[in-house]
Amino acid sequence: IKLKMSTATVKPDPDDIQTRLLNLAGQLPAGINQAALRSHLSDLPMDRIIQCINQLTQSGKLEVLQTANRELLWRLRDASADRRLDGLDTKEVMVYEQLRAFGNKGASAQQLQSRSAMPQREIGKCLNSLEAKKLVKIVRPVGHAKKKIFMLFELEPDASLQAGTFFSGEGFDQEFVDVLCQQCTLYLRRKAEAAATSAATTSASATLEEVQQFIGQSRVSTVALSLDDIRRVLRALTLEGVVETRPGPYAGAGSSCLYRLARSQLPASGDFGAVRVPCVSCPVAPDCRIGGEISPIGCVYLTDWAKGQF
Amino acid sequence: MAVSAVDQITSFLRVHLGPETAAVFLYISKNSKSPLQMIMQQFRLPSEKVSFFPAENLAHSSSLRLLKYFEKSSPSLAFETMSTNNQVLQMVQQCLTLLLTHDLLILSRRKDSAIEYSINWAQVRVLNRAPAFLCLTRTQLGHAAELVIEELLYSGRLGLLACLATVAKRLAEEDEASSSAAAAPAAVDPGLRALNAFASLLELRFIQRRGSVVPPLPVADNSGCGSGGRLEDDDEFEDDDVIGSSKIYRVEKPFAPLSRAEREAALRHIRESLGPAVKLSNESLEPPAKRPRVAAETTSVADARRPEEAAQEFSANAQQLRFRWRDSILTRAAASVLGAQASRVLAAMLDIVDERVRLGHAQSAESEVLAHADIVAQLAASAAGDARSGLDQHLSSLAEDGFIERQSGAAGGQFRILFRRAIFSLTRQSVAAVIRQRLGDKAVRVFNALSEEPNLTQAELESHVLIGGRDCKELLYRLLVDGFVHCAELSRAADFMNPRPNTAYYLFHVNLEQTTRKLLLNMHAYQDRLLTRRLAEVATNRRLLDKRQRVKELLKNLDAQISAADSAGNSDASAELSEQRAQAAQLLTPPEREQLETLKRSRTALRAGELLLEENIFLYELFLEFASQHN
Repeated sequence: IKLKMSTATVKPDPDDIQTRLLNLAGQLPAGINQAALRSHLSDLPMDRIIQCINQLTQSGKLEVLQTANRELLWRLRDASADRRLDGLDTKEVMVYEQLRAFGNKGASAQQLQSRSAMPQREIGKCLNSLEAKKLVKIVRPVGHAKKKIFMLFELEPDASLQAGTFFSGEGFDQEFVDVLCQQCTLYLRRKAEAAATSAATTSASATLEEVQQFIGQSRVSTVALSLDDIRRVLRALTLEGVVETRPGPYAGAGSSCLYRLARSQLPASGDFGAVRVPCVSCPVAPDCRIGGEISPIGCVYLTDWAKGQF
Repeated sequence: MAVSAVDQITSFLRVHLGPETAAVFLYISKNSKSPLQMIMQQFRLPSEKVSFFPAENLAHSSSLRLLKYFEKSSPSLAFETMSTNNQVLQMVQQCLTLLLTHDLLILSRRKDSAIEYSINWAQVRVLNRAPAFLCLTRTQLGHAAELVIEELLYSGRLGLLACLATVAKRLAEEDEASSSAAAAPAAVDPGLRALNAFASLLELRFIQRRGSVVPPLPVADNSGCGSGGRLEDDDEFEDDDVIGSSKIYRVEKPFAPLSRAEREAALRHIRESLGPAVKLSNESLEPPAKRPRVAAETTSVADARRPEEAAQEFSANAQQLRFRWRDSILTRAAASVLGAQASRVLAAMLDIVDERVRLGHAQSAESEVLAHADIVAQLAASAAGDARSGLDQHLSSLAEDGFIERQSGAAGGQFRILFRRAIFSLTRQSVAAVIRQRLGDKAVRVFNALSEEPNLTQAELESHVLIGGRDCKELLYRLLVDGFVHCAELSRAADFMNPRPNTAYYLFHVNLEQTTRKLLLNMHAYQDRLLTRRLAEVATNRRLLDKRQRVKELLKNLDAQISAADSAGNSDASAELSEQRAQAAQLLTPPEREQLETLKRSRTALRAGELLLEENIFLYELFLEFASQHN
């Protein structure tokens, strides 16, 4: 009697493989790498394992990561994970997860390429796809208008990328700064006039918070200006000689000094008379020579000045 | 020294002291420590028969050079009419004496005992600043004091009687002109006004007693006020051949007040010189017995000095005038920033300091410590008694703004005036004002930012001053070209050898001392231009000015004749003269009058501009003086 031994191998059930993979991922919360797969699932053929991993990734139960050594990891996906990533292919998810790791500093395409083993073109396609799905946005850093930094859509760019309140899309917004300076000067002038006309209880000085409140109420800015922004504007006015500072009686929420209109801005104040002489501000003063083509003897500036002086 | 200063003084000397003196001054100005000692030795030649011409008979080439210079510089010099060596010697001696009288020469002695002459440039600056000093004196002490200072500045030294007689005469003429115009009675008699002004100037040390012309002695220092006859040693100089008196007249108390004898002699002299037409105060006519008794010590000192007083002369104290000008600048700055009351408090403190400063006291960075009680007493004594209310507040304000410093809080506080810090602050504000006038407000931001935080790159500066990149760059470079900011290069390359723009940091900073020096030169140039313009306008309208002068004199003569005819009762002649006067008054046509009015306005504006520039120049010189002391 000849015994026929069945040589047909028993194909593993895919559900079993997926269950074992999920259990293994639960045991290794840091992620499953290829070494773990070989050691824990050695009885299973690798192609079946990879097939099941892909199915689990597509169904959203596992997520793919890449370490700094460019080693792939598969990790259990959090149940509350972002459902927006459903429908993304693996590469897009990889790129998305890498950008998540960069946080609000973002990363350029070159940085993403150096982190992953993906070619530049693939990364570009993934970024375009993610940008179209409003999962990723582009930020242009200060001073590098042509450079593109990619970051997750919901994140605020880091301060090092942002130019600040006084910058618009086209660069430094001088007009906006001038308007802020005018408003601050207007407020301090009104305070000085009120102090001059009313009793001694009204002070001509203002704190940083008061100026900020006035600017906010005047609605000259569409964005909220911080105390630091107001301090910078008042500092610029102090350097210009329009505003002067005095030590405050107490330390406020963000300020320790008082601001008021500089006394040179007030009426009936003196100045150094030499600046009234036209030669001081004459545009051709370096070329003026006695006996030359430009000379003081026929100077029209001196003639007009003498007529207007007395 | 600016060329224009020498030209101004030379023309002043030519007008007041003669062309020979101006020529001597000009020669010495171009040949400092010139070999005029050779001329002095020339004076000692035993033979007077040596003819000055031809030149080859002269033993010393330096004298020949001097004489040839005289010949070339001004053909109208008296030297060319002289034929003997002795005449030239006497003329040169006279010129040098006149220059010494005005403190324009510094004498020094070489190792071989020869005398060298150099120009005292500090005194040249004093004479150039005479209009500013006169303006200061008029503002602080009145018109009579201004006239006294004017006489002493332009005469060098004057005796008491000569000075007061001149000033009283000018005051009397002005009173007469104003009384004839306004039909108002004359005020206090001019003699007494002049004498009181003189006495107060002496008390406030605006003027000082001087000896006779300084003999050729080595000077101890170049204080600009004249050494007044001090010697390095106590030996008298006995060489009779040297210029000046062989005996030294030392003034031990240059600011001693006028004695009773001096006052009496002065009033008597004024009365004699002005004549009976001018009414004098009764005080001068009182018999000596009715006068209040003077303190015995003062009387004995006065009696002891009486014989020498007649030989004493007086001159303006330039150092005190400079200190007072500095104080005037500080009080005006305080008034403009803190108000009139705080300014009066500061003025009172400056008066206390002034009383404690002695002659020759150097420019100090800080004053002595002043007690609160002293300030209160000074305010009470002065006309600013109402400033005592709120004194503590004013002192705090002055301390906040850097004019004074509180040393301690005991007994109301002790304070010190910070001259150096105040002048530094005023200089920086002045430079900022010039920048604002030339380049605008944003340039002032850049300048002040770099003053407070030096060594910033352009990018850092942009974030400090909130100015866009392109505008900030343009302003920065314009400030750099004009010398208001400076740049230091810091290479990023490892070798530091060949820095290129893209491998170097450029750090910007402000060097106020260097900027001020450059501005000082510019201010001198601007002043020169205003002066040139003013003189050119006078020269252009010389014919018209001469015509106006002639018409004025004609009218004056006719007025005198009319008044004589009226007093004689000759009505016909009076009417005829009046008609002639009316015709003479129309010699100047309306367009000519308008042109004269325009000229007057222009000259006034230009002169005012020169004074404004002079004040700035003085401020910058003070700053540089303090800066050099600090270094």
